[in-house]
Amino acid sequence: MSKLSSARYTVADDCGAVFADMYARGFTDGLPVIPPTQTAVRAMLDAAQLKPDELIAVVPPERGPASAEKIAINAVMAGCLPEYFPVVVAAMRAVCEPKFNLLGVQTTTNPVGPVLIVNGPIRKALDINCGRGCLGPGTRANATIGRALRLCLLNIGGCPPGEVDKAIHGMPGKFSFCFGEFEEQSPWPPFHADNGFAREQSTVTAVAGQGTQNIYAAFHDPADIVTMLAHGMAVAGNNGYLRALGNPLVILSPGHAKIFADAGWGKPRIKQALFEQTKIPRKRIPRARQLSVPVYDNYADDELCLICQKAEDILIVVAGGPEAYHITYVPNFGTTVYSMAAI
Amino acid sequence: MRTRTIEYLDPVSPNTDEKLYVPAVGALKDKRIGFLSNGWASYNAMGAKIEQVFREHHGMKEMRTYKIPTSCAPPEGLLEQVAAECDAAIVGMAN
Repeated sequence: MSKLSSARYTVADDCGAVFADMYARGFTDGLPVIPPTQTAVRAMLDAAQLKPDELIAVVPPERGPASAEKIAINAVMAGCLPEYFPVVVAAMRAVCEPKFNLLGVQTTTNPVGPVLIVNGPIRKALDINCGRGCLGPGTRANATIGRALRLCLLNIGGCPPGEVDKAIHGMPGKFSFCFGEFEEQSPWPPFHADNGFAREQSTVTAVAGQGTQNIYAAFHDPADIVTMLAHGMAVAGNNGYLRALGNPLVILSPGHAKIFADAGWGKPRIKQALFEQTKIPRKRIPRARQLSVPVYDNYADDELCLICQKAEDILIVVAGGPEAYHITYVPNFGTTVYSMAAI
Repeated sequence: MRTRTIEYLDPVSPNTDEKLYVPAVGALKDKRIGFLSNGWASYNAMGAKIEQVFREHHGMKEMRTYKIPTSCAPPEGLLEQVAAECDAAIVGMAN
């Protein structure tokens, strides 16, 4: 049996005492955690068949080494079951890909945090919520997988809120933000299949999201749904417009997806329509110099500011309750590209 | 009565890479100083003032500006390029 190399702390065997000790040391997100005992950590490692010293990633900003052992410790703390651990490991690989720009995501004044989208058979195996309430509380897998990633970014990345994580306000999704795509209720190929993965392959996708914006679009005509959605997305103060980069994320309910599909709209057509309708004329944004000079700074009055570089960069997934009422839009950090890892 | 205790593992993983320290550049006279600009207006304003002070009071030969993406690490290879082309560089400020 491989030895676990992490330092050990001993406290009174009491839930409150453990939490108080770990909180005082800055190990938590402010919520109680499960004590990462040797037994619990080994169970995590065994579930993924990983040796403790296997290096999974190097985590910015402090470039802390994320060994399997350290990720397992944080996954125990988050409340993960051992069978969730392979998803947490894959999520760490995804966010530490250079194109994701985790350094920027971790340290910015923006409220951004990684949003995890799970595809493939593992969703059912782990009971990951893809349906009603999938972005909210109530499902252990969703809550703890997302939280495990956040604790890793805190403890391994060396990014305590306020000190190194300079988010001015932060956002609730920085506790946990993980859900599954409702592939069974989608009329289109799943997200990971669009990206070249086999349907049978489980994957996790990390998107750098600034929070959620609800858009009520209870229309029957796809064009009207797109118009309403575009109104909600066309916010000049979102980072995507600053750089005309990034991956705006749209989460459609199965009901909305069906309306689109029944009318012959596929994801490419929706993306193109959204890209066009989210363009903002320069004259609608004040001309005064901003602290960070945006890409549109010298545009002429009628020149159009873009939400991202091209229509294909808008991401669309299907999840949530069935009603064609509400759409969730996740604005993007901008200087980041979504990243995927096989589970 | 002895209190029962529980032992837990440390979740933190500090970077233990060896820190590389290089000699200070010393006097700035006739030196070329690099300036990595990330597009923040306040940072660039300070950079302009620093350049003025370095030239007028310390005899700096040149301040060479390198543009880097906002909110990102420098692109791969850029720091090596700066190190090759400059005697020292300002790579960031807590502005």
